[in-house]
Amino acid sequence: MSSLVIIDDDVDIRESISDYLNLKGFDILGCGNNGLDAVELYKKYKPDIVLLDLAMPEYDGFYGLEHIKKINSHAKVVILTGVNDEVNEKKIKVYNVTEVLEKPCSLRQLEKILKTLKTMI
Amino acid sequence: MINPGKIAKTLFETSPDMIAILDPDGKIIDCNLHLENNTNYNKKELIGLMGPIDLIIDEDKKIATSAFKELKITNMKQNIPLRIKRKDGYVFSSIWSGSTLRNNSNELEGYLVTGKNISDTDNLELKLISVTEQHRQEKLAIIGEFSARIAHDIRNPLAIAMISLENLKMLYGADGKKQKQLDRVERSIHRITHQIEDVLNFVREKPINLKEILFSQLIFESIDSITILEGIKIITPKNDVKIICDKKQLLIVLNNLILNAIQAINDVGIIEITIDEIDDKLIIQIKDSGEGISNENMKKIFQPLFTTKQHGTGLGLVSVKSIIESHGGTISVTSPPTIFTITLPKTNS
Repeated sequence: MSSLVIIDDDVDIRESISDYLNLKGFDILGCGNNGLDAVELYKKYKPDIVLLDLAMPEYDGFYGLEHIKKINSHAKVVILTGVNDEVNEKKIKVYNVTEVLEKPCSLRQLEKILKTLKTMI
Repeated sequence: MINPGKIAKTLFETSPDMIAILDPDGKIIDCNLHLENNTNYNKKELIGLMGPIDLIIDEDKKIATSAFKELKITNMKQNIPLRIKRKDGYVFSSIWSGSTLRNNSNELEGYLVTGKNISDTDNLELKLISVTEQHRQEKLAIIGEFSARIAHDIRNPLAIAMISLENLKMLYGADGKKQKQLDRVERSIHRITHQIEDVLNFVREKPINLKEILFSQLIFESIDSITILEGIKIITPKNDVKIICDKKQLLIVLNNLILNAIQAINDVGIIEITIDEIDDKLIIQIKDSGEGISNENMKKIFQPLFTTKQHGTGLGLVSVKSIIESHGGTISVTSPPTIFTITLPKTNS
């Protein structure tokens, strides 16, 4: 069974996506709301996949991404981003991210991410 | 019969109005003596400036930019009040009109803009037109910003509602009665989402991010994102072509045209998409088996806020045309049968 940790500063996004993935058979080990949470939850649970929002206050997604990859360069991270501009695109590419999802997250995108996650198990 | 070229030349040289010819990017490539005299700049200094935007005071730049955006779509704009700053710093009021210059293939070759210096005129009517137009432009600019803001703030909660609804369906969908209610909520959310997307696409200034992509890939992604009911048959091209474009924006174009076609055939019929290469152009056509478009509607079809649908925003085709033109292409429609034809340059500079 695939395990996940979900990080987003919007509680409704966190919980609705968490419930969705739960109902689809995934194990949600924990949720957090900034980059620091992301790193701590990763250290604690070593989940198969991290679902990570980019724009968060204080410690953002890039902080989380950088430090998680330091712990495990092969860590599977799926980025959720509300702003998909070239600057972010370039930064993301540097870190070898598994997938990028644009917010607001449509159902189709969730279904797409499901397919990706299933092939990663 | 007097040579029309001579008429144009004489008009250009002797007209009491300021006249400038702009290239497709809006830069001045030629102007008449009155523009030089009124602005205190000579032709050399004027050529290369964005006209008349680089000549106007900061407070009016927004009005000018949005009027220019509209001009690209409607091909003619009149009576825009703008205050010009002369080389010596003196500011005067003027009122501007402009038209697009297009060649036989309807490609944008430039703009013709003319301005009247109204600072020394007692013509109250002109001044009234100027003030009224100024208010209208300011209102439009505010509405634009406001709509974009609202649309943006609404999209997130909408997405959350959608996901939670899907969760509800998984939890309670087995019950027929509940499923019916849930489906209704889902349809309504879809409708709201569609309206928001239309408004956002219309209002946002989007920079073009060109990449190479196979046309078959574009079609695949577009169709994948649309719900195709059983009665609808979509015929995709047998050939494949590499196309250089902004993928997201071309997807908006395809989604829009395909959705329109689906509605035109009332969910039962055939939609045919073709792509051909002719010389240095790509020709994409989308044909539907629907009733067709009346002559009267054909004239208005690319105008903002024109729609035949009860729930339409009237912004879809306007955005489509704007996107195609930003790619240096053209779009036209013939009917019956209804065929939308898009031309795009093969190589984009």
